[in-house]
Amino acid sequence: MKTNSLLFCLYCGLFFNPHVFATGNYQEPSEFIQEVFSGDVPKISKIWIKKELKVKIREIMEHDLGVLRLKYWKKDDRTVWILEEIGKERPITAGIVINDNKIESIKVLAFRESRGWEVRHPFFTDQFSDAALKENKQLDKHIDGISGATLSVKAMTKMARLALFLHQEIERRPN
Amino acid sequence: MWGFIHKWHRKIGITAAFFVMLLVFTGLLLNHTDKLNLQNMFVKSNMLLDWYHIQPKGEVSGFMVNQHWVIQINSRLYFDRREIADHIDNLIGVVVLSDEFVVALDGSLLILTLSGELVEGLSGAEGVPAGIKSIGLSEEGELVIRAAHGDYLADLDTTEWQEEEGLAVNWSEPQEIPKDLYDQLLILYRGKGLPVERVILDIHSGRILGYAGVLLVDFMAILFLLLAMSGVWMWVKYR
Repeated sequence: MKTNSLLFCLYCGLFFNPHVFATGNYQEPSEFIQEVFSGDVPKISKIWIKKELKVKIREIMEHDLGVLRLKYWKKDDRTVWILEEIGKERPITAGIVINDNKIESIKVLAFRESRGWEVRHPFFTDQFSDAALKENKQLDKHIDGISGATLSVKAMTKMARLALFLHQEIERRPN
Repeated sequence: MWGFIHKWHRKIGITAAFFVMLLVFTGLLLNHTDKLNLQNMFVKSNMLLDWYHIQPKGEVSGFMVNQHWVIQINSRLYFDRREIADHIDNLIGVVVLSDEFVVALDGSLLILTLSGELVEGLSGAEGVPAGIKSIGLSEEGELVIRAAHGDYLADLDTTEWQEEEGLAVNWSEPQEIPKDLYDQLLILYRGKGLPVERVILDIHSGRILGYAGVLLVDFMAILFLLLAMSGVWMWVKYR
């Protein structure tokens, strides 16, 4: 009886502890890309982060990206970006789909922080749908924060702005 | 009774004063930790770093290619004496192609310029085979990845991975890191091992002194309570 009670308590503790299932890889980036393009994945394209672009990216991210090149997938007016940004201590990986200069969808693919994992839920990510970039490189929509997840919200917003900005850059360039 | 409470109120007050100041100061800092960027400021004091046992855990692995060292200490990656990436998986090996280094990690590849700048990372999204075990160069100088399901000839420009059998490959092997380089990297590693926020939080909670510190803060909390109660009692009496 005692053992059963102990196991029950352990089970309840595991089940109701939000941190147990909070962090982890929710979807492989390759699966996300397959899903977005319904299996017809275009070739990878690359954008070099040169001096001028680096300065503009720093305005958005408040730091350098630390890489010289970024990859994306483009088909018609849609681009897909797999980006990473640190919330508090560890990187959050997000998949972002831009369609005609607006966010079509944003999804948390991997979350490694111990707090702020609520940003992966649709009630938060759906807020980004149809958001575009204003001239000052801010979103044209207000994104409601989540208490206790301020830094994760900030990281997600920065990645959304960066994807929109890079999409604009690509559209601006001659083919 | 009045004299007794007054005497002890003063004694407790003077004992608690230092701790009140300490708690107020650390509390104020913690309340603005994001604005002050305390999580990205690091402790330099060797005494504190030793106190927190800030040392690499597990094996430190290094590969020397083209007279350059690529070394992993815990989750950080160094190119010679410079940190180039953090939060990385296990370092598997390093090879040099004509104009870039290719660093193999557990589940991804990092491309570096010949001067050690990070160009980009490649992962499963770009088709990098899962479960990388080794990286090497074929006799023709082509990049070869040994992964969980076999050996793959890799073309990084087109990101194509072609499974091949029976390739003669010169695999990348770890080497012993020179002691002076290791010592220098250890200083770098320790220098980014302990955020100021952690120390302030531990001072605030007493955990910097271990469990004894927590009990000390508990004791102080009880003193604050006595101080408040005796203060209220005296206020009522004076009135």
